[in-house]
Amino acid sequence: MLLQLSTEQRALRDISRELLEARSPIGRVRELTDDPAGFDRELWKESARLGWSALLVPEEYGGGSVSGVGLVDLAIIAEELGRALHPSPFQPTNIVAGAVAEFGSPEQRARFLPGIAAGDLIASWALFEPKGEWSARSIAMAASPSGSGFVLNGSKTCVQDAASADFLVVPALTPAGLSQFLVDTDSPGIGIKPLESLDLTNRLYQVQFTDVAVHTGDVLGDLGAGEQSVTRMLHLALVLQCADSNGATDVAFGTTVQYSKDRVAFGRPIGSYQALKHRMASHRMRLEGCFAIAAYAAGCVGEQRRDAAAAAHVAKAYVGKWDTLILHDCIQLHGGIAMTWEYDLHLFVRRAMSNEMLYGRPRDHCRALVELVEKSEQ
Amino acid sequence: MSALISIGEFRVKVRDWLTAHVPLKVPDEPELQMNDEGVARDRAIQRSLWRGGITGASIPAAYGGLGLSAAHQAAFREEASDYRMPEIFGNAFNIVIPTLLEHGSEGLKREFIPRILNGDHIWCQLLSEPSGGSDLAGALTRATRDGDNWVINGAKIWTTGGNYSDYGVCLARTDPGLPKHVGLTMFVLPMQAPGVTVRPLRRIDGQANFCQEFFDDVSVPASYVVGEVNGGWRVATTLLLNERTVIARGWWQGGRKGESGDTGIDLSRELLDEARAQGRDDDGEIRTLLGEAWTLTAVQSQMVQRVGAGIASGDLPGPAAAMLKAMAALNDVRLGEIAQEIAGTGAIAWPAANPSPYAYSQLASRRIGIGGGTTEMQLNTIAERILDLPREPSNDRVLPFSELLHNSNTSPTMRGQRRSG
Repeated sequence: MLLQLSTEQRALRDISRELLEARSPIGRVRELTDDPAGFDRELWKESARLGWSALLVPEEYGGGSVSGVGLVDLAIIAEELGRALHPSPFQPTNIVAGAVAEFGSPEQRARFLPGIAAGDLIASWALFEPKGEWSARSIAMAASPSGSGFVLNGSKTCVQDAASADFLVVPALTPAGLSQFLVDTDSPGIGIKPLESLDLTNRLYQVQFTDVAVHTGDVLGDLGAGEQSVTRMLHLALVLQCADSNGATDVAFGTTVQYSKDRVAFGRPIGSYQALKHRMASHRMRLEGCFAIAAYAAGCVGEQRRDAAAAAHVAKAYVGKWDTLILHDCIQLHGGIAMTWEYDLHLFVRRAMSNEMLYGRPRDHCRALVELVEKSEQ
Repeated sequence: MSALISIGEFRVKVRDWLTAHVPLKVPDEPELQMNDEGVARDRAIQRSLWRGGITGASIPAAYGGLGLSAAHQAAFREEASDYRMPEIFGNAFNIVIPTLLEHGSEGLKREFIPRILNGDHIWCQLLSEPSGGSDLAGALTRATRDGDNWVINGAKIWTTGGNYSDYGVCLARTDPGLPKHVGLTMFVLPMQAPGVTVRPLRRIDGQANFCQEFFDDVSVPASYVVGEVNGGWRVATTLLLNERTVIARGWWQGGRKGESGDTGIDLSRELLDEARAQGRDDDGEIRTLLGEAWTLTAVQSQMVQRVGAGIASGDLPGPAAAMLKAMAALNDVRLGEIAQEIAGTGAIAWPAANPSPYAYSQLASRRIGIGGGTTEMQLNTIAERILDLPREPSNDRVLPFSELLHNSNTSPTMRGQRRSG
């Protein structure tokens, strides 16, 4: 939650919230947990009219930001999605849009960006590999030269909305070094298998690549320069993910505080006992810290400031840890009711827990800060 | 004194005077230097700021100030960021002047505010007592009317700078027959008056920054009542709110360059260097802790910016400042644990010539969480004033104070160690 939104940003937030309230109330969210795709593609197309997939796309390709810093605007929407637990390919599509806008060739931009901005194309990022890390240096998947292009062999996992995506960004190792490839999901040799996921509002997939042929024209950015774009995409992902978790936590925590005022035990509201209210006060304080650092990271990464990497790592290290801890304690603060399937709290906890793991655990980002400092000394 | 000086002109004036008359800050030098030399130096600097006509920018001219705006005062803070400021006057500027301006009589304002500005009077806050600190309204120190005077008896404790102060604001009970919040009065108490005894207290880390005071028949004129008789709780509330607001802004008189803007993420290398010195910088757990320390510091700094701006703009209520205090306190404890973990035996034994900077980081890490209102009190404020949760039921607001259960006003530090529960 940014303080001091501009009039335009407030309008963006309000129309996004209205759309979600009207079209994606919690009943609908629960309904979609049984849907094969896991989200409402029609609504995704509709939300594109509000700019949900256009804020990182340059104007010439049908996009444009509200404030001049598209990522800050996008984080406002991400938080609304988190508040509503809305299932959608918002995160992966926008991360890819940002990367294609920044690193793509004119041909690639013309091919993908207008479709993304219009809500016609869905994209995802196949970064993570079994036994790997959420970083450029752990990529093991091979891209071997073949004819005028490459063939990809290897497996990726935890790829969001892969089965719905029209194309993927795939980092792989070439003889020239790490490179990212733009790959259509209907290319021969790609196998996509759904995973069961803890977060019922997010579909994750295994993606197997068996001799998948790609052209040199499908390399995103310069061949061998993949580390830069992977790192950039990771920062974008962390900003959106933190905003999402904060939105979800804010709503679930607010529900918990209200419950503690309504629920009576031993003749008075349970929220009057210091054993509970001190915990809630502490959660309120941590949550304010989560909002503060997430807003700071959105600005730093959005404007590509010197602090961008540090801010993204710090944000995830803090938000990833505290949002989950707060939500777990919300279950305890409620008592038995929060252990039931029908009560919505677990859906929020699931979303934050999943976010905590995706794109690296808080401790991974703590350690990444040390590496950042060590690198700056060299 | 021109009432029409622009902020830009004022900045130039401040800058010129500071450059010519005030020493620069020495890196790593503590802001508060509670010794004869440090206090004398602070007095000399405050006198110089007075002579230069640059102190008290936003204080009305009638009370010796410059009668300019809060923005002029903010400009002073920024310009002063590189200079040694007279921080021993912190209580006087941050707490006493705003409190006198809001509740003090015309006489008190005219008598005391100019003497702060000209460097004559250092002030302290006489609030906590050996019988209780968090339960401030439970003060036992008594003031009884005697003709044109009030006679004060009792004890105060945890008074920062008590031994160097000329005056203190003192909360005392004037009517024990009333409920505790309505039987209190705030006084101006001259620290050199007969019957005042000040004892410095030594903290667990060996430092001696705060004091205990005993009052034996200390007589103060009736004109030294701040606000109304039996209206002391209102004054105390203003005082505490000022304290929190100032903490949110930054306590020290010298601000930071561009403090309203982006200060960036501080990845200072001290702990990493310590890990290297201990040969533990490759240890994954230690690396996680290093990252956690940077994370806590960065979040705290963003929190200060956000909450400060939020309170100023009205997006957050004033009591939100309690979140800053609570977070600083909890972070300090965690940072102390982390420093201890990284320094290892280096934090428990060291060569005399080369003291460990981490020796007391954990031992003294409860300082922020106790001083100036415990973390538990901040959490109550957050819970009751921001989350709007109900208070614990208690009859202490309705019963006459004399009928309430309370401690006796004796000090554990003065009465030996063994006390039963």
